[in-house]
Amino acid sequence: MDETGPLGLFLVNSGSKGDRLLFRYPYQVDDQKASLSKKKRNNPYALIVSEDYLMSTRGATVSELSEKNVLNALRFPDKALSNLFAVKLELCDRKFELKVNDVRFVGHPTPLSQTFNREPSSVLMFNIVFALRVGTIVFRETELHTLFKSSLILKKQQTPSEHKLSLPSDNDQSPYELILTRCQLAQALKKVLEDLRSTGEVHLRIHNWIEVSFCLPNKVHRTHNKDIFIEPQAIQSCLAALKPYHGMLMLVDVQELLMTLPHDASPALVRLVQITSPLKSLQQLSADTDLTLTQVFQLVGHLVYWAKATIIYPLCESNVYILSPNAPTCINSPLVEKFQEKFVGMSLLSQMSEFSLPTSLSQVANPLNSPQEKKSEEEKHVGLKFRTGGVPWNVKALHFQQVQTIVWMLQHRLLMQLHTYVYLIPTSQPPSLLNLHERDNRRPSTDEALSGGQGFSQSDYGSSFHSEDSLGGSPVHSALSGSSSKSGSEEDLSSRDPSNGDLLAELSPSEREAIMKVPAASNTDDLKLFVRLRPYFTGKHHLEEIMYYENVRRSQLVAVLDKFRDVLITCKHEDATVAAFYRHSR
Amino acid sequence: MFNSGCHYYQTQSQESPIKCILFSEFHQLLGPKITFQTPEDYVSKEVFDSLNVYIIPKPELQGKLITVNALGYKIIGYPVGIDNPKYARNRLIFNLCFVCDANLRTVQYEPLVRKLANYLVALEEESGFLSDEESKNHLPLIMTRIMNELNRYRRCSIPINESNTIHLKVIRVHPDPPQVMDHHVPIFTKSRTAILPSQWDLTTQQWDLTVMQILGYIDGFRHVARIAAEADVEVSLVKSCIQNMVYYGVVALIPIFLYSNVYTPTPELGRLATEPTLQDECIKYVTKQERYLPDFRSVFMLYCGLSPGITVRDLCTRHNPHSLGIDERKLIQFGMMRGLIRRLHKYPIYLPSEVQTPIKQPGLVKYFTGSHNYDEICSKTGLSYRELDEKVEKDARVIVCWK
Repeated sequence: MDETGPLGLFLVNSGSKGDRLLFRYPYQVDDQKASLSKKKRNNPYALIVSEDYLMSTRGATVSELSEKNVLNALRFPDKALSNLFAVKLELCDRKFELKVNDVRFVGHPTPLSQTFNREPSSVLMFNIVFALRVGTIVFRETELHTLFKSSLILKKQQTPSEHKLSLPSDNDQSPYELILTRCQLAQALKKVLEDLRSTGEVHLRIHNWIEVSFCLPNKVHRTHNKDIFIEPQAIQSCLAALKPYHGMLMLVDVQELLMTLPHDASPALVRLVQITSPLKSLQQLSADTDLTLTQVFQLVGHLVYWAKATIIYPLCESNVYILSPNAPTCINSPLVEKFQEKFVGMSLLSQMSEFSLPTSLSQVANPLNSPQEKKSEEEKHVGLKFRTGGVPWNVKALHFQQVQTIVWMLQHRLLMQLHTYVYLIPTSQPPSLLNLHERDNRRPSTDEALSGGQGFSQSDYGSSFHSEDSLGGSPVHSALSGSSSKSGSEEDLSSRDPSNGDLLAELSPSEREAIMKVPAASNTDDLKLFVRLRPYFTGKHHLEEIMYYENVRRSQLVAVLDKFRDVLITCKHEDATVAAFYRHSR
Repeated sequence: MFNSGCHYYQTQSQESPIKCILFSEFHQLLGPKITFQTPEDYVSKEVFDSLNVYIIPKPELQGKLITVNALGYKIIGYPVGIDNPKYARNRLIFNLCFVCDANLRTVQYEPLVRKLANYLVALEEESGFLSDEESKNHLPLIMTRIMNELNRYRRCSIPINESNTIHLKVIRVHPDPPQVMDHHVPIFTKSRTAILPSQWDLTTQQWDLTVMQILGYIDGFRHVARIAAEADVEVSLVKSCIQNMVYYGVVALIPIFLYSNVYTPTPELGRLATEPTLQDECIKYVTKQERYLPDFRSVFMLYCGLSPGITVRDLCTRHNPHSLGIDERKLIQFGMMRGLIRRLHKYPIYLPSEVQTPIKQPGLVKYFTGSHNYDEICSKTGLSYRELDEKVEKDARVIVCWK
C-alpha cells in the first residue's frame, strides 16, 4: 500500500434528523490485508546483518503498533464518526482537521442553504472526510483544495443522492455494500479513493454532469520513477523561476494525453501539446502556437503540475548530461525492464554508465556506434532540428536511438544537465560585506543600461516579461522589463562608451586593477563585451542564460571567458530551478 | 544526501509555542465545560461549545490523542474517562489540552499531553486530586507553571505531593537518521573537543559510557569500523551511538577521505561566493596554519576545480593546495558538511552476457548489483580501492556507474 494515499473516505451529513454517516469506504477493514502489505514492504533482497537485527526488530514493533492504531481508527463505529464529522455550523465552510492517534482526518464541511434546493430539504450540512496517515504532511494542502472543489460540486446535487443513500439500512450484509451497488455518488466516491491510492489522479463525472478532476502532485510525479519525491511547493518554485529559454519535455504519450483530456479542454493546450518538442524553447513554442509567453507558461505549469511534462533545457548538441545522484543503478530496478521493453537489445545500465562522466550530446552523436534506424512515436518530434546557437543541425545525421534513450532517461530523471556558471572573483581578497551591498544596489542600473543597448527584439514579448516580474524577482528580469518600457535606451551605452576606466567604475579599485591587468583588457572590444556580461558573473546565471539574455553566441562567450580567465572562475553544476524534479524520497 | 532530509523538515514549518493550557471536564449537570484555562479567556465559550465534541468526546475516543484544528486554534488533548461508582455519573471525564497556533507544528507536544493526562489519572486514583475541590484549585497554578516553563526552557519538573512530581520535556521530532555504515566517517557539526575521562564532571559521568568512549575518536577522518577497532567497542554499538548523535545533529556523516575520491560542486556552492560569513568560516576551516589564512580566490577555485572524472589527487597535482596554504582534507570536509560539494560514488555492476561463462570471482560478484558502491565493497571485503579497481577493470562484463 502506498503510504501517501488516503486510507479511507467518509461522507456525513447533518440535519433535522441529527447527524448521520451516509457512506464510508472501505467499509470493511481486515487485518489480513494489512499484514500482507506489511510483509511486502520488507525487501526480500535485503541483506540481513546480524548486528543490525536488534535495531530492525525494534523498529518493526513500532511500525506494527502504529499500523494497528491506524486500522483501529478506520474501524470506528458509524455513530462515533458521524458525531465527529458532522460539525457545528460555525465550523462549516473552512478547513477542518482532526487527528486521532496516528490518523489525520481532513475535510471541508459545507453548509447547504435552503434556497439552493428546489424542494425544501432537512439537510443542513455535509462533509466529505479523508483519512490520512500521519506523516503525509505534504499531501494535505492539495487534498483540501480538491476536497473543496468536490464539495462545491456535491453541494449542487446533494438532495437526490441523499435520498438514494438513506434507502437501505436493514439488511444482513453491510449496508454500504448495498449503497455501493445502487448509488452513483457512492460509486464515484469509491472511485475517487481508489484512484487516489493507485495513481494519484482522479477524473470523473458526477451524475454525468459535472466534471471533477484533481491530482496529488507528489504522487503523480512518481509514476515515472518511484523514488522521486516532489513537493507541491517545489513545483511552484520551479514554475516561478521558469524562463523563456527553458523547454518542455512531455512525460506521457501525446496521443494518449489528447485522448484523456476533458471535452472542454482549452484549445490552446491541445495546440501546445501537439506541437511541443524537446528541442523547442518555451519562447519558440509561444511563437509556433501563436500564444503569448504568459499563456505558454501557464499551460506548461499546468502540465508540469499534473506530471504530464517536465522542465528541461531544450536539447542541443552542446548540452552536457551526467547521471543523477539518485538514479537507481540496481540491477533489479523496475526501470531496467521498462527500458528493455522500449529499446530491445539495449541495456539501461550500460547506457547509464556512459553518463558517469559528463557527456555532451555531440559526444553521444559520435558515429562510433552503428546507427540503427528505428521508428517510434516520439521520433517525429525529436527528429526535427537541433538548435545549436543559431546553426540548424540536422538530427538525421545523429544517432536516432541514442537521442531516444537520452530522452527516455531524461523523462525518468536518470540524467541531469550540467550548466556552466561564472563567478567574477578578481582579487585574492574575499569581497567584503560592504562591497557586496554596494554592488547589489548598483546592479539594476547597469543591467538596464546594458541590456537596453541590445539589438534583440524585446518588444516582441516585452509584455509577457512584465507578468514574469511578479514571479521571479531576479535583477535581470526587472532590468529587462524596465528597459523595454522606456524607449531610446541606446543613448545609455553611447554615453558610457569613452574610456576603459569608466567601464569598470562600479568595481572597487583593487578589483578594477586586477581586471585591467588581464592582457585582453587592453583590447577595447573584448573589455566592452566583458563589461557588458559582467552582471551575469555572479554564479547565478549559466552560459545558456547569458547567451539568451545578451544575444551572444556561445563561441563569443567562451572566448571572452577564456581571455579573462585570470579573474573569472567557472563551475559546473545542475540548474537549481530544474533540480527540484530530481529530489529523492530520502 | 544527508542534508537534504534535514532541510526538508526545517522548511516545513516552525514549532508552535503553547498558547494556552485548558482543563475541561464533563460536569454532571452542565455537560462539557472549561474548568480552568491559563491565560484566562484564551478560548472563548462559543469556540469551546463548537469544539467540545472533540475535547470531551464519546467513550470510544477517550484514551486517544486527539488534535483538532479549527477556528484558528489547534487543540491537542487526551480525553480520559475514569469509571468509579463514587462519581456523580459513575464516571469522571476530563481533558487537559494544550492550545497552539493553527499553522505551526505541534507534534512535539503530543507525548507530553498524553503523559500529563496519565499523571492526572494517577493523582486522581491515588488521592482524589481532581474530585476534591480544594486540591483541584491548585491546578491553574500548575498549568501556568507548565506553560511558562515549557515555553521558556522546554522542560519542567513540578512537585505535586510527596509521591508525585510532574516531569515533562519537549522532544524535538527529527527525521529518521540514516543507517550508519562501516565506511561512514562521523564528524562533529560544530567544532568540539572531546572531554577526557579525567575532566568528567557529575553530568558527564551520567552520559552513555560507550558514547564517552568513542567520542575522542570522532575526528572527521576515522571511519566507523576504525573507531570501533581503536576504541575497542563493538561495531554495532558504535553504529547505534553514532546514529543517535546524527539524529540530534551533533554529528554528520561524510564518506571516507581518499585521494582517489571524486567530488562535484552542487548549486549550493553559489552561497560561498555571496555569503561573507560562510566565506570567513570556510577560510578559517580549510587553512593549514592559523596564522596564514589562504585567500578566498584559491579556495573557491579549488572547489570549482572539483568535477566528475577529476580525483582529489588530480586536483592536488594541478593546483598544489599546500602551496596555497590549504588543507585539502579539510577543504573536502567543509564542502561535504555544508553541502557545497557532493561525493560521486562508484557503483560496479555485473552485466552477464548471453553466453554464460563461469564467474571468476564468485565472492565479489555478489556485490556488483549496482546497489553497493566502492566504499561499501572495500569495507566489507577488506580489499583496497586499487585492488578492487583492478578486478573490476579486468572483467569486461562489469560496468561502472558514477553517481
